[in-house]
Formats: sequence, structure tokens, C-alpha cells
Amino acid sequence: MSWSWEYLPSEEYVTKGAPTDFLAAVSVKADELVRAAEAQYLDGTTYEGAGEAMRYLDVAGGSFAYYVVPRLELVVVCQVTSPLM
Amino acid sequence: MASTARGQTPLPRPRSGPGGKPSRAVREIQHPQSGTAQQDDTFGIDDRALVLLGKRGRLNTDRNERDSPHWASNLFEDERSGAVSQPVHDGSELIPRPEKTPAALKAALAVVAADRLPEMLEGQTRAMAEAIKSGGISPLQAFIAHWAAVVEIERRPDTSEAYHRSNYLANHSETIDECRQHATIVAELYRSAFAAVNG
Repeated sequence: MSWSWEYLPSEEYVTKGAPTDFLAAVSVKADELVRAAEAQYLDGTTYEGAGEAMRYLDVAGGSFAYYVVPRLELVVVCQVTSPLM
Repeated sequence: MASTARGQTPLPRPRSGPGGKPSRAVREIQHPQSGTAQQDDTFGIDDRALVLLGKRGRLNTDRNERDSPHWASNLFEDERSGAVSQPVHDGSELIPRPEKTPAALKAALAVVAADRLPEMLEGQTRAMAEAIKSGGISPLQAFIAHWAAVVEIERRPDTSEAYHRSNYLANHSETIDECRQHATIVAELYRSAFAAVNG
């Protein structure tokens, strides 16, 4: 496996109605999170913890919630909050 | 973004939960509306988590749909409106829903998940710094929205149990598919809690 990020339950479900420029900024941040997780866990398949906490990041005037699933070598983005217009 | 198509491939080093296999302790449950006991082991996922999401009766046992990348999200789709349901719980709450202020959320977190207080305080400091830097209050709003959702999950024992159980099993199930199913439940529970307090 290799590290990646993904919207769960699905991209269309999570990103519905969000501006494309905001989602582009989310994508950039998510890529950074993937690199950080890869460096932190090295081999996620050997993870033996109880699960990682849900966290959030500010981005481009909005925010998004994410959590890391080391066993899947996956950063999950599950909630985006678009910037106020 | 890199979507995955990882199929049924067994993990290289299967691990098990306490007792040797992922827990399937919740096999017979009391439906919150009908009061009837139901059993299902079709998916190997937590039936109670589905009940908490109010979708137990919507569970589709069709093999093809189960294998669909979107099968899990289908579980949560409201049969009539297509809207996502809020978590259904048995009514037990450790504390009432707190106000959405830093002080009220901090006090509530001290009761329902005290181990996360340092993280919250660090987040508050970061949010204030971001707000000053950006000249807007959106970082503070994001801080409140996130921690209100966390408290919303933790103040309900049944929701909290389902959330943490799935977060554990997302990392300790035997197959990639099972891990993904539990990761999806975690996402849904957070989204539902977030919508309940920030919607």
C-alpha cells in the first residue's frame, strides 16, 4: 500500500456545493497531510494504536475535518466547511 | 487526490482485536423505534452503529451493492427524502448539549472526554493566532464548530461507543474492505454530529 487521501463517504457527498477554488486549497492541504502521515507512520500496516482522533484544518477562509487511518495508509477528509461568501 | 481500489486483498499482517478477532459482540439489538430485537451478521459491521444512524432497516443485503464503492454511504441515505439522517440514540446523555462557546465546550469536554482537553486548549490558542493573522473570525468559528461536534459525539454514550469502536476497527479489521467500512462509519458519525450542532 501507499499513502493517499480520499473523501469519505464519497467526494460528491462531502464536497457538494463547495466552491472549486476552496476545494483546490483543500486538496493541496490534504496532499500535505498525506506526506506528514507517511513520515510519521512509515509503515501504516504495522499500526497498533486504537485509532487516530478527528482533527480539522483552516484553509482558504474555510475549514475541513480529517482523520488518519494508518492501517489503510489513508487520510480521510469527511467534512468541508466553505468560506462565508 | 488518489482514490483507492483495494478490493478484498488481505492485509499483509492481519491483526486482531481483543480476543483474537474483531469484536462482533453486538449481534442482537433492540430497535429504538419498534422495540424488537434484530439480528444481522451480514456485513460484519456494527449493527448498533447502523441503528444509531437510524438506518438499520435500510440495510441492503444485495451482494453487488455491498461491493459498490458507495455501498456504505447508501446505508445512510434516507429512504424517503434522500437526506442524511441524524444519529438516533437511546436517549441517554452524560450531559445536555452545551452552548457553542469556548468556555461551555471546554467544561463539557472535561466531563465527556477529559483526555482531549490539552488538544482543545492548544487548538484554541492556534485558532486565536490564525484569527489575528487573517484578520477574520473564521478560524475561531472552525474551532467552535469542530469541538461542538466532538462533544456532541462524546456526550452520548451509545454514539461515542459506536464512533470509537469503528475507529478502532478501521485499523484492526482483517480485510481492507472491512477497514474501509468502519472508516466510513466514523466519517458519517462525525458528519451527523457536526450537522446536528452546526447545521
